[in-house]
Amino acid sequence: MPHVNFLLSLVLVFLGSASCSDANFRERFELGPARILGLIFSHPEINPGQSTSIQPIFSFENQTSETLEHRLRSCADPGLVFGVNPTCENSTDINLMVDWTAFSFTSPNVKSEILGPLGNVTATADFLISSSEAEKTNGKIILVEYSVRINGTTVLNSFGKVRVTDPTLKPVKNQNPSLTNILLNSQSLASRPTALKNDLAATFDPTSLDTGEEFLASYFISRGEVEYSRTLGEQSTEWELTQTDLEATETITVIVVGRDERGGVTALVRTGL
Amino acid sequence: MFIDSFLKTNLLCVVFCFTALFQSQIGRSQEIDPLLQITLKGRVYEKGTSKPLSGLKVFLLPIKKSTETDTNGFFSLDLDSSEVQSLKTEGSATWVANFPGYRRYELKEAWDSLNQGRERIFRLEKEIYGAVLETTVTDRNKSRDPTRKSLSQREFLQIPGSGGDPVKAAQNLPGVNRAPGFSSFVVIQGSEPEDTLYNIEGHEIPLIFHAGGFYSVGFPEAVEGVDILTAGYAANSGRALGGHLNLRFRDLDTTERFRGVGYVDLLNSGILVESKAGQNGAFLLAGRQSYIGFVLKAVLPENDAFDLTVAPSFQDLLGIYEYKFSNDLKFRLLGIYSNDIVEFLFERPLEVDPSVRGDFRTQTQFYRIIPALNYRINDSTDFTFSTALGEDEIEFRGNTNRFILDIKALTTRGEITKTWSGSQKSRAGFDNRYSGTDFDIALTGSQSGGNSNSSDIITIGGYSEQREIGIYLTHEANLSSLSIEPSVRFDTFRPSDENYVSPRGTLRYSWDSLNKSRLSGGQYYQPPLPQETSPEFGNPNLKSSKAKSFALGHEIDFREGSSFGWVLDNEVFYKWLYNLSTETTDSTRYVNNGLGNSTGWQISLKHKTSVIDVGLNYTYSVSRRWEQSATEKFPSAFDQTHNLGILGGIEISGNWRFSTRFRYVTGNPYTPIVGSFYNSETDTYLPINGARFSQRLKGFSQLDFRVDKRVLFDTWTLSFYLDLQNVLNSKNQEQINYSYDYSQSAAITGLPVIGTLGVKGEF
Repeated sequence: MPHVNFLLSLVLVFLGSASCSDANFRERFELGPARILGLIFSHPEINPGQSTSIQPIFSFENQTSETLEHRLRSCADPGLVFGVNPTCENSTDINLMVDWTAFSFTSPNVKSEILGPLGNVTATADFLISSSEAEKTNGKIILVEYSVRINGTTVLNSFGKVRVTDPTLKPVKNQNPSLTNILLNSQSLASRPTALKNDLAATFDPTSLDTGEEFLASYFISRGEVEYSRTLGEQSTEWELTQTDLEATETITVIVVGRDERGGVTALVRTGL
Repeated sequence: MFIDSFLKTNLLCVVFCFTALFQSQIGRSQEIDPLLQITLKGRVYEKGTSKPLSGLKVFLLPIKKSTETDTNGFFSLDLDSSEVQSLKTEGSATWVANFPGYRRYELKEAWDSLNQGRERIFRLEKEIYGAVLETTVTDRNKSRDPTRKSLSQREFLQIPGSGGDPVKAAQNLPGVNRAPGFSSFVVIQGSEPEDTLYNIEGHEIPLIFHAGGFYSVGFPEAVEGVDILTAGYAANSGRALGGHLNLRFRDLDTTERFRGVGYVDLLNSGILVESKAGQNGAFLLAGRQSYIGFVLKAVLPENDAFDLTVAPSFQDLLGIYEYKFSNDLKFRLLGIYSNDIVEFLFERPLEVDPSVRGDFRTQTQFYRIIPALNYRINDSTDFTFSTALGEDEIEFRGNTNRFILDIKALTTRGEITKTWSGSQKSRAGFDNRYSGTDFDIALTGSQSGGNSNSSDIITIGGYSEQREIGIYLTHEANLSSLSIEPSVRFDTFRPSDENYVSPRGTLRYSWDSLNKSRLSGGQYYQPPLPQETSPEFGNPNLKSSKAKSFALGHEIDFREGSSFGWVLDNEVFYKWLYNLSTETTDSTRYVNNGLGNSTGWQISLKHKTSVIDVGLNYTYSVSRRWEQSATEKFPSAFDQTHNLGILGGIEISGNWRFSTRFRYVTGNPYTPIVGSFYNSETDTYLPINGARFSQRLKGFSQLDFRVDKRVLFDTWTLSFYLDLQNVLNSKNQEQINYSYDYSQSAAITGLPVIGTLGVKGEF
């Protein structure tokens, strides 16, 4: 009865992960190397025949002279539920929106931003024609794959899922949550912190969430450390800086990415602090 | 005493009577005076346990007279008048008791004491107190599987690093792979963990270890031995490609004494009592309670994101009742209960996966009631029957996920043995298993095996049944030095609707009194796991995995009937695995597409004297897997090329025992992660796997050390032990840990040097 052992070992993994960490690893909240922090779909859930546009959240605080190229494509779900890699590589119905095109940030001083809409994904009118009731309700997936290539070699891969549901069975579609502000010590974050220990929090519009959904905020900073890189709902996290951090002349970037529990993504980026 | 006082109080009367009596005896005997005859009585026990010693010779010196103790340790010695006179003249006598395995006992007793008619108590000290509650093995397990490797209670209680646990100790046996730290399974000869079945008295149980793999579910002092069956096992067992692990509980002590053991160590404590019940019965009750969780709670750093609501703990209870209707008919009832529970709260999302948050609870409990009957129908026919009725409750709740199974289990075993002649014997038996499962499962897509949206919850509930019938027939023909044991097993599996015939057999050949060879093998089937045939999570059309296994062994036993000396056993094995269940990346989920083999050589060398025991176990093995359509083979998850274990122990005066264990095992293969995909929806990274099992962890090496000190009192013993694991503090790699995006990696090492201090009282 191996599932028993699996469950027991799961508990131990949880316990282990709660009590152990490897200090040599880069922390999840650290900005610096090139990272894709999220894909924002204008509409995370659509009806057949409708479209959604895509905006990647990209950060590369350590960028100097590296050249950047990106690619955006979509395809029908290749079988994610069965463990297939989330890529359109072997698909026959690829919608190539951007094909390894060079790009840069909007300003030389900006190293983290939400890139402008790069393309649209459209569900065909007959997209759900052979789907089961459950799939029409829960959503049939269109895979969106976004990749960034650095200096023509290193590739970062990311993916998101656009959910296509039946307009009758699922008349109210999921929307992106609304992230209203980033608070530093209960004040709107407008300048870099001056204290060694600070309270960082995200505010959101609870009406932008469906019943039962929770708002999950992920924090990314270019200096210092946050105690928790994610918070739930109204929770806050401690942002700790060293004296060196406070005295440094480089600007600081803070990004908060908000998510609901059904594919909705939103973000606020504060740079030049 | 009466004669003595009489002499003192009325000497004249005595002289008169004595003279008259003496005169009346003239003509019948001139030498013996019946009035001077005395009977000396006594009882002999084992020191520290009050175990009566039967069949023991007791000598009285200098008259050189002897007697023997009965089954309850009683003895009596009649002395005639000349012997009485001799002792009286001598003024004292010396009792001497000698018994194999015990220190020589001598007691000088003055004539006055001898002549008081009292019952004397002798307590003999054992040379080695390995296991106080050990009892003699009787005839419940007559048939010995050709592949069986066993550890007795005496052996497993003393193996360093095992904490006195039978199953942890069995992981030292040749052919058993080293399981990673905190794992709770036993892997045999490069198989998968699910290829081993765990049994109590031959009946399957859902798990053998409590959570964390520190302790198995059987109270060690109640266990007679632990057996491992490996490649080529006999037809009376089945349904497992790897092998079987079986805990045998010992026969109860039917003497009149009340026995018990209680112990306390850093992680758990337990108590066992045992007594005769009525004229022909006996019972044993035992229980254990852990406090691992409280230790864990104390050492975990303060963390406001994590709250250990219910500290992890386990309990187990054991009860055995035996009743002997006659010498031919014995009844035994065994009950066992095991419970593991832990509950905790993640108040914040876990770093590695934000969907891991909220309350988590897991509880696993099971019980089995096992009545068993042994009936000797006549001199040539024996019948055994046992059934295990029980229930397994497995509950896991985590955030929105739940996994609840309530399994009613019934297994039955029966065997009739017919001895046709001194050289011909047949056995026919059955080995059935039934389980009915109520299940209630709600898993998010990502938890149910794929990368789908974590908000898509798959909920299923219902009832399923599994019925497995096994029937076997074996015949044993002993032809001088050669023994031939052909056998056949018929299995039927439902609901997979499969019927199989498995021919198996064993050849044994005795070259001389020292050298014995054996060859065993056959066909083996293992039904798919319930989750693999689930319509929601698996493939209902999946069939059994199959194997052909063979083992060729040779034993050289230099002991020649003695307990001491050298024993060398070595074995080569080969397993051809086919029709194995493999996962797919389409809607079929599982197919019988896997192939594999395991080949190896294992050797066991043991040497024992009255004070020293040493052992060496080594296994060389190669275990490969591949899929039918693929040409590339890869190692199995537990492909451990070299597995070496060296054990040694020495008893020194004062009831001290020092023992040590060294292990070296090739590192397990693992699949490297070569990249990742960022999942924007869940803010997690999905790993991109490299070539399957193409890299290995570093080799594992560990030195353990144990000290036992026993303090003997007349009727009980007190033991102290210190079990030190990994005394060299080796940084053994247990698995690879990755950074959040899999771009960095580092090995997680096993436990550092860790000690367990315990105290145990036995009577």
